[in-house]
Amino acid sequence: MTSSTPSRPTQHEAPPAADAAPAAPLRRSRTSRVVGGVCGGLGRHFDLDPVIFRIVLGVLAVTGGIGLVFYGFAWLLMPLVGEEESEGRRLLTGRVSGASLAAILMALVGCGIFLSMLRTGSLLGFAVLLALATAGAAHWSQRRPLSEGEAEADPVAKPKAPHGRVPVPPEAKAPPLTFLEREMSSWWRDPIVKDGSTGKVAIGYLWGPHGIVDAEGKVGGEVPRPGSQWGPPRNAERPEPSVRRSPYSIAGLVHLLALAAAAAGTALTWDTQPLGTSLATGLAAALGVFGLGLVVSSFLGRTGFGTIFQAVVTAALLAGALALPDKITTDWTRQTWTPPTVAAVQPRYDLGAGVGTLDLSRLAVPEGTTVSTTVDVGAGKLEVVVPEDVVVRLHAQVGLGDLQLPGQAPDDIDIAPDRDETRTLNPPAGTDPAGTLDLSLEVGLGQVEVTRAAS
Amino acid sequence: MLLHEFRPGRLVVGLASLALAAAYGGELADAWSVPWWLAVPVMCGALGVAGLVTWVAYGVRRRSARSRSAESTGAPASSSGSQAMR
Repeated sequence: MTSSTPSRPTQHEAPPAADAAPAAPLRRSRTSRVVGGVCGGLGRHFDLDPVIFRIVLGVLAVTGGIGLVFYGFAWLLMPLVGEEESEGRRLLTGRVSGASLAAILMALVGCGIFLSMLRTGSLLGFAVLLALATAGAAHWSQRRPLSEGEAEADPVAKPKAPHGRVPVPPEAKAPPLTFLEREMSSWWRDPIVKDGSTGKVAIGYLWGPHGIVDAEGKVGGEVPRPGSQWGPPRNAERPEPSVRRSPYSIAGLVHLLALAAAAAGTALTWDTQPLGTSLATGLAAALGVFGLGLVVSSFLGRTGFGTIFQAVVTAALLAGALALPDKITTDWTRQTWTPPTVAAVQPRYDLGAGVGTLDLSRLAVPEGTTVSTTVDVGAGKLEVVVPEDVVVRLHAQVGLGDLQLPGQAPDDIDIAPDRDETRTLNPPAGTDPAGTLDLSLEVGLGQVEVTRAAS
Repeated sequence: MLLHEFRPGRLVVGLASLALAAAYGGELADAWSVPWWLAVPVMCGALGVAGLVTWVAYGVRRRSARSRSAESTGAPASSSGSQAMR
C-alpha cells in the first residue's frame, strides 16, 4: 500500500462488489496515529472512530492500567500497514527497535499500575464493563454494514439505502470518513461546511490526520508537500558517511572477556573456598580484565564511559565480597541438632550457610545446674527451641539481620547491623523450677530465632 | 581503525584497576593483607586524576592545533577530527 498516489473513490458510485469484501485487516495505522497507530488501526478495522478507542483506552489506562497493557501488546502484535512482521516478531528475531521497547515499557507500566490497583474490586469491575461495552460497540459497528449491505443487494426493494456500506478506503488515502461524510453529521460533532454547499464535508478527527485527499490528490486545493502527511515519502535521506572518523570500540570484547574471567575465577574456587573468597576471586579477575582493556584503549580502540563504570562497579562489588565473613560457605544446608540429654549437648555447633535448628525442647535440665552451648551460623537462619521451664541466659550476636525472641510477633522483623544483645529469659509463671541454659548464638548474616517449646 | 591519539585518562583508570585487582588478589592468595575498603580511595582518586589528566591533555591538543592552524603551514586544525578545534 503506497502513500504516494492518494486517490479516493467518488461518493456516489455504488460499490456493490465491495460489500461482500471482508473488513480491513487489523493493522496499525501509519497515517492516523498518535502514539503507535493502534487506535487508528482498530478504528479502521471496526469502522469506528479512533477517538472512541483512544478515550476508552485512556480511561482504562488511568483506572487500573489495563489500557496500557492492551495498547502495549497490540502495538507488539499488530503489524504496521504494508508490513509483514509485527514488532514482537522483530523483537524475537533480535531486531530491537525503539518502538518495540516503548511498547514493552508501556505494557510493563500498565502491569505495574494493574498490580497496584488489584485490590480495588470496583475499579476492576468498571474496567471490565467498559471493555465489554467497547468490544460490543466495535463488534456491532463491524457487523452493521454487512447486514445492511445484504439488504442493499436487492435493488428493487431499496434502490439507495441511506446507511449503505461504502468500501473501507485504503490506508493511505484518508481516514474512514465515508460513512460520516454520507451522513453529513456526527453524534459528537457538528459538521463543518466550508462553503455552505452540500458537497464534500470535511469532518476531521478531534486529533489525528487533517484534511481529505480528493480525487486529484490535493488536500484543500493544495498539492501536499513531499514528506508531509499526505505527500509522497521523502526519499532523499542523508547518505551514511563512508569514512569512519572514530576508532572501533573494544568495549564489547572487554565486557565479554571480563564476564568469562569472573565466571572462571568463581567456578575454580567455588568448591574449595568460602563464598566471599570465591566471589572475590572472580571479581578480581574481572577487574583485572577491565583494567587491561582500559590501558589498551588508551592507545588502541575505543572504550567509553560504560567500561569505566563497569570497572568502578566491579571494584565496589569486590570490596563487598571481601567484607563478607569467611565462615559463610558456598553450599546451603539444613541442619538440625537434637541432643536428647544434657550430657549429649556439645559445647559448640557450627554451620556455614543455611538453616540450623537446635531443638532442646525435650531436654530436661535439673534444678541448680547450668547447660552451656554456642551455636555459630555464617549466613542464614538459626532457630533455637528451648524447654519450657528453664531460665535462659542469652547472648546473641547478629552481624546484619534480625533477632526474634519469645513473645515477639512473628512478622516483627527489624533488620539492623551489629546486633549484640544479652538477655535473661525467665520461664512463664506456674512452671516447675528447672535449671539454667546458657546460650551464645552468633549469625553473620541472617536471623536468630529463639522460641520456647510449648509443654 | 584501531590506533588513535594517546588518551591518558583511560590509562590512569586502567592502571588503578589493575593495581586494585593485584592488591586484592594478593589478599586472596594470603600474600599480604589489605583492608576491604581499599577500593573506595583508589577508585575515587583514579577517577579524579583521570579527569584532571584528560582536561590537561585536551588543553594541550587544542593549543597545539591552534598554533598549527595559526602558522598556516600544515593542514588546517579542523582536519584533526575534533569538532571543538577551530
